Amino acid sequence: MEEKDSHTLIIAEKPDAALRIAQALDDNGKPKKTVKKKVPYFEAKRANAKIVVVPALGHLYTITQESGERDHYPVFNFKWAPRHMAERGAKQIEVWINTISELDKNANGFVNACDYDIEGSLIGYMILKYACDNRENDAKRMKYSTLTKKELQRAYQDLMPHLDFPLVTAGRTRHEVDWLYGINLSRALTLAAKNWSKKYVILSTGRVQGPTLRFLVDREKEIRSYVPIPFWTIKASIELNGTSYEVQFEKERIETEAEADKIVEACNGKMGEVKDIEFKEFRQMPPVPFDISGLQSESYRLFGFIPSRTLGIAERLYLATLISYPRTSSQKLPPVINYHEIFASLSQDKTYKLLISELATKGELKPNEGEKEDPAHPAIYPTGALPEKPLEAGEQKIFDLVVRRFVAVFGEPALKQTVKITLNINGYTFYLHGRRVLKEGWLKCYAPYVKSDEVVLPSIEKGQKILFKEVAREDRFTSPPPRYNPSSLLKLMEDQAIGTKATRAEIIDTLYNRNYVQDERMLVTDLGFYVTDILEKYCGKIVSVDLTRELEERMEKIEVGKEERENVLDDAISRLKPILEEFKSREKEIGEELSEAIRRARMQEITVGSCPICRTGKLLILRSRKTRKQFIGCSNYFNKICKTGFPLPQKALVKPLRKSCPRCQWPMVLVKIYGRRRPWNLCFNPDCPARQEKEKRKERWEA
Amino acid sequence: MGSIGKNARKCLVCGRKTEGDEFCEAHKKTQQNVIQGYEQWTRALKISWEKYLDAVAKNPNTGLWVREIVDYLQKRRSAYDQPKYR
Repeated sequence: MEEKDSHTLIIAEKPDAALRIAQALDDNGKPKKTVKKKVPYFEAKRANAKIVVVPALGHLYTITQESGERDHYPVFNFKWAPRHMAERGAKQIEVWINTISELDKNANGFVNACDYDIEGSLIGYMILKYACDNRENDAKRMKYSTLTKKELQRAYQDLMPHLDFPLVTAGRTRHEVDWLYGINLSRALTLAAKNWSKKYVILSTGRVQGPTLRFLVDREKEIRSYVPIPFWTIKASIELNGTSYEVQFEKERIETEAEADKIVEACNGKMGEVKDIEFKEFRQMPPVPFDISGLQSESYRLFGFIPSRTLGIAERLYLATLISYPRTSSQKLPPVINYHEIFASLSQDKTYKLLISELATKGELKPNEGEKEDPAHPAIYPTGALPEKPLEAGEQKIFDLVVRRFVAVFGEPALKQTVKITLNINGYTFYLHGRRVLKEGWLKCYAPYVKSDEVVLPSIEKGQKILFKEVAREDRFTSPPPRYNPSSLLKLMEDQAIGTKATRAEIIDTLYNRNYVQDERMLVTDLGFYVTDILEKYCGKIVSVDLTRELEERMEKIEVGKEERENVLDDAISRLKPILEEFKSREKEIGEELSEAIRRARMQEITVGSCPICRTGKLLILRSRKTRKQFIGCSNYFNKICKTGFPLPQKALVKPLRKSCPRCQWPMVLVKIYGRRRPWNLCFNPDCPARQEKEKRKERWEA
Repeated sequence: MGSIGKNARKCLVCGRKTEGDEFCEAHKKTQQNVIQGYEQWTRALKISWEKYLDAVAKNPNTGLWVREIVDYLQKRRSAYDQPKYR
């Protein structure tokens, strides 16, 4: 018989998830909410038993140095501690942990209901171990992929008998290894620079951050040292029934100017002949279901959302029970999710009803699955629930994308036809391409996110004579490889197997926060360059992808019980030790180089461009020592060569724009007035024609 | 004073420390690219070294370090800078 007031304590990962779980488990769907010192928890009654669902706030425990000074490395002693004891500004965590400890007192059953992945398993484990006084061995695990009532009830019914310890150990090891690398290398960098320059600037690197930045630096080096090489293409058009069609020359590029001229001479304004007509039909299979990286790249392609934004939105949609758990690497949709039920629910929305009706003619519903699997969760899919309140614009876009993709994967293959017409003229060959969709299939379900650009050709016959109306040469140059953007970098990290689906987006954000990269184009700053060069020079292994990948593989083995935490930790320490010793012995020269890098990076941050007056100096954003006002001045002022100066708006953040004014070609700056939302581009040239025109307009208006 | 060796010099383009060379690693490699680029350009069309440098400087696809090297070479314009096959 249960004790009076005793209850089962369920740990959820976030407050929203705790509420959903409590609502699903309460017999009346109305759990009692209590807020104690700003910590909410929910009491549910289920078949006369009391259940208390308490949320975490993500990780409540973290790793910290066990003993010793904070400005010292190497550090290999560590412990898990409540976050408020290790981080500034985490005071609320103490209250949170105390509340959970109090709720633990009358508990006679424990369940970890955090998200079913490495992080969720670890969050629950740490709370059960430390806040609930070593209850980790008594606790059960709740496994679910959506926060729908039905699935949560099923998950509670079929609780796993104990915690998923291999996953917990894998998570613990990952955090510990990352901490060892991060703390030691970041301290080594920061202290080297500080000891040399006596100025404190946080520099960081890490097990995954280092190789990720190196990808960007390697690409940036290629771009910066790129010499474009000339080549030529042929632009040609023919006339058919009064309409002009562009035709493609047999070679994509012509290596010499002389050859290009020869082709133009032979073909321009001359008559050619249809030599061959070739029709081809092919089936285009539906896309595969979204895993998290698939969703992130598609959302970047379509809406320009960076990966961390997409992940954040997807998590909000998951907490609102609209989509399944997004941090998945699966491209599979098992029948157990009940396709028919999801379609029936989605059909209540008029827009989706029409889409789904396309599938009605299909007998058996079978998704076109991808190859990737995730033992913990299926691919991302809509739960069938429709938004209870209007979604924010970004949320609406991602929700719609997930729904349409889900419908599309069940669609029929599209049937397309291409036609290739071969044209001969004076010994040269050109091709005319046509394409059309014979059967739309899944394309209809995935619109507007997929477009079929049709080129329908008029009827044409073999042997027909055709006028080459215009044939001209185009002068072209080879281009450097493109810069990575957050989405393509994320894809690269995934292909290279570094980081996890949960951490990759965060690492990309850190590169921005540390000022190693700028802009959406991920332009590497001088600081990013120097830090990578220095790491490569003095401890190349740290930025090596192979080392990171190898550690990654070993940690994955822990998840399936094929590797021991202790071995991985010992190995990580034994690899780090010599690197740090070497670093320390050369701290002086590294410090000198880093300090120079920081100085240059600071200079880069305030350099607007070349001085258009003296042409040898650089225009800098400066602040007057006397008046504290900011202005633009020439670097040659200090050499008494150029006294150029321009006023700037005060109480505003001014940054170099790295673009020239389209009217006067002077460099421009970006101005953001504090408190105003929108920044604007400013050309500070007082004689800029655009500025003069604006002033004249103003005068006219005032008159 | 730091660890600047006997042969230490500063890169003539960016001012970074070098081990006795006139350019840092990045600009040295870039200079080689500029010279190799000229070989490819001359295979594609008739062009003098000076015009090649002008064309590269104006090209939007040209890398930043290439621009810096070209700018340096254009300013020096001595026989020493120009490749032997000019």
